Amino acid sequence: MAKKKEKILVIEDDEQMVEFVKRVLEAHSYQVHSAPSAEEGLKKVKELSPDLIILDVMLETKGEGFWTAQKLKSTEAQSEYREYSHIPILMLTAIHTQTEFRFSPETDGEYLPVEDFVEKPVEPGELVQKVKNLLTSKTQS
Amino acid sequence: MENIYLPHSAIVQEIIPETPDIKTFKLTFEDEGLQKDFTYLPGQFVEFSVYGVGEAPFCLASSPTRPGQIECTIKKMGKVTQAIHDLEVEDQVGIRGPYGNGFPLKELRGRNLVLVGGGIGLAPLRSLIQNVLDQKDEYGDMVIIYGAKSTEDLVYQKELQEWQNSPGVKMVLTVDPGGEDQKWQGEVGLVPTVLEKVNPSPDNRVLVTCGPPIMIRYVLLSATGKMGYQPEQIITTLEMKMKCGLGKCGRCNIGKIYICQDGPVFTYQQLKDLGTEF
Repeated sequence: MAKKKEKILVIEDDEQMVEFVKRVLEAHSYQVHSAPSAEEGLKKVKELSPDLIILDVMLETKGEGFWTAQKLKSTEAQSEYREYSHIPILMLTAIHTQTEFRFSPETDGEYLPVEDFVEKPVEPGELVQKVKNLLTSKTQS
Repeated sequence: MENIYLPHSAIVQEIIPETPDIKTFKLTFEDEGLQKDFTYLPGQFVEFSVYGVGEAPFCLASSPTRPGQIECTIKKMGKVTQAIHDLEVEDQVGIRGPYGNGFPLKELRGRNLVLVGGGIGLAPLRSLIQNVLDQKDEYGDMVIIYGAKSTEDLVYQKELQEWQNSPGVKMVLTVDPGGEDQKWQGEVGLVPTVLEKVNPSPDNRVLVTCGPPIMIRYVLLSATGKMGYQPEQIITTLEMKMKCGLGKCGRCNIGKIYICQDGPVFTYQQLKDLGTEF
């Protein structure tokens, strides 16, 4: 029986970036869905229950991706996303080119609750490797 | 020649335990004339020394509108702060200052305020809050958003109640997820998230924020994002890195400016102009 394709949701407003991620990951047999805003992305998380989320930071506002990650990772009893908090998030961002802030999950703790954080531009090989790593560690946990 | 590093002698009058690792120290100068004449601005700081151990800069947590003593709220973090925490009432300490620019009260008059604090970052804001409450007619409304890791990490617990009951003040308290106890009636969530939820209008308003650098970064992102604040409407304090307080030691310079002399209070626009990365 053929292995079920793993679902990846890309929340990104830059169409070219979405196209790039789709081409790279579909070539490695992943099923890629996309959403152009945080609002749409949150809806699709509920619809698709993806295996991995690739999340941009600067969406409707400069920090929208951060607030989206915090919502998705909330383990609060009343959080509507609680059942999705186990889904790994790979954050892709160019915020370092737009603001004077530097972000990192290592230093920012609960403010930046993502499994991996990559500053754009990202190389195709690096992207595939990071996706593989996150999906493998998800399966093992 | 006057020795600019020589502190004035002060006596510890009262010690208030705020949290397991934060205490507030109420001090008076031994020289009564100095005690009478000593004035400062909210947002300014003093060098606090424990004889034989060392000195460190701390913001003044009291307000010049309430003279008679000065107060510093200090978190136990290292050698000097440990020695300060070991002090007892009636012990003698050294104080020099005040230093720094303080909050721009002239520019804040007539404006609405939103004060956003995290953890011990409420200390300089407390000075401003007391000042504003004592001169209420000169300011617009005041929103205070204050958060800490857990309920036991909230400082000034008695005063928080008083501020909450003051006319013209809206007070929102929050603790980080998991930091609430059964009695907690405030918000649960990170300070920037609560700030967005409360969403005080930027009309004729100045946002003043102080707290951990991480919190400040995300507050600046929130405020200048969907909340619509301009960088000139946001004020913060950069107390880190300061050492001598006099612009002499060079520990706190960013380019041509010294945080201890030209700051520690800056608008976000000023920080952007400096190219500060934080």
